[in-house]
Amino acid sequence: MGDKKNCVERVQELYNRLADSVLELSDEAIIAEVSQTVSDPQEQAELARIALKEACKQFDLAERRRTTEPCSIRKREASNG
Amino acid sequence: MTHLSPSSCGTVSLQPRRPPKPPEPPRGQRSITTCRKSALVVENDDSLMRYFLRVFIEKGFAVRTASDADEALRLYRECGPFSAVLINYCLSPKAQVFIDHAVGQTNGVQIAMAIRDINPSQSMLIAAFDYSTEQEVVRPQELMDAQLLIDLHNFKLHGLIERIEIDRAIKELTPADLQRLQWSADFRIRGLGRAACGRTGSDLLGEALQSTLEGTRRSGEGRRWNKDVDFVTHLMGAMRSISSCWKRKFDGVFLESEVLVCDIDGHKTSPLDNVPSNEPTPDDKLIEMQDENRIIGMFVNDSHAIWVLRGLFDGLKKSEITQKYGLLEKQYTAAVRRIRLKLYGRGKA
Repeated sequence: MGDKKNCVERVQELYNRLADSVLELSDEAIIAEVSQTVSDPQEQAELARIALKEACKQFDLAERRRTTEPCSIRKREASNG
Repeated sequence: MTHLSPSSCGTVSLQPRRPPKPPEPPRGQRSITTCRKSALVVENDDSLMRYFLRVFIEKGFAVRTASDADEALRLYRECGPFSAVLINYCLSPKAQVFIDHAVGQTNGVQIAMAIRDINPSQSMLIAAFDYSTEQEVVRPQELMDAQLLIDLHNFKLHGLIERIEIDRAIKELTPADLQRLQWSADFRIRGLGRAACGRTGSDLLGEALQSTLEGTRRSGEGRRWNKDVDFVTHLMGAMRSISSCWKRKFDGVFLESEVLVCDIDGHKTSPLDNVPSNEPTPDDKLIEMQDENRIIGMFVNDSHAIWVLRGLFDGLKKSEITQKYGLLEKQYTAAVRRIRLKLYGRGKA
């Protein structure tokens, strides 16, 4: 086995390849595999949906804050770089 | 009323994961009923209408247009729902009835509400060019989720349409898609090890979406969704890129020599001397050194899995692993499946 850095990178490479391998699975295969690894596959899907919803919410909040500034200010800022 | 066909519509998946979509009808035959993306534009200013049409068609939408509230409602009842409805806040109630701009306008909002009565989940864009901020646009609570188009600077309309497409893509994610994303995010976080700094797979997935939403602003930030790939593939690519970025930041890519300062006696000191180090402790080092062996040790009676693991650790491609160890493709696929199950199960335990 190589030095420390190599070792960390090799383990990272493995997990990244496993992360990519999930994309190649059919819908049936992914559902079957998830059922074998987690007690509640629905909960797993729900976790992802919540993460996406929360990201939308955060983005909209930031957008709302950003657009509170009048157009003229935004334009002035843009022209000032 | 105008009925236009886009030059292209629908998306093409680059991955074999899902069955291919049915072929699009030939150019010129595409219509509101055959195109996956459709829009209703309600606008009574000719030049604005031409601009809106151009943008929607560029984005691959089949478009219906109406110039007053009556026509818009009739079209919606006949052809709705649409992927997006764009309504001007100041809208003529009927044909040949002119708008008095001296009087407060509510027709655009009224038609938007009437459409929401028919379909409460209809994606809506309201053009309100008479206002300088979103907060000034008076609208009922039911329309607070509608996207507002206050100006046309910086491809604003393009960005709002992209946002609608992203919202729709999220809604269309199947339980399998969601599980695929979560699983992939969890593996990537596990690969980061200490560089994850306490983040979870959900954090990574959320960051990927936020970055995609930022991409709709066209400010040069974020990651734009190229519609040639499906949304799941895009998010997985974004997660790959974000996790690499987190890793690089954790590793600290700068030269200490660039920040050294000299005191009056000529002694060199670094402002980084007092910064806590990201270097692993001796215990961390030991754990990391042993991790590879520990993973291999989990498959002690599974030679195929061990060979595949060794290949993956070495960064070999699938074809190189099967060739090097004389594995059939189905043996490789089955071994990867066993590795996935065991390692994911280990993390969840």
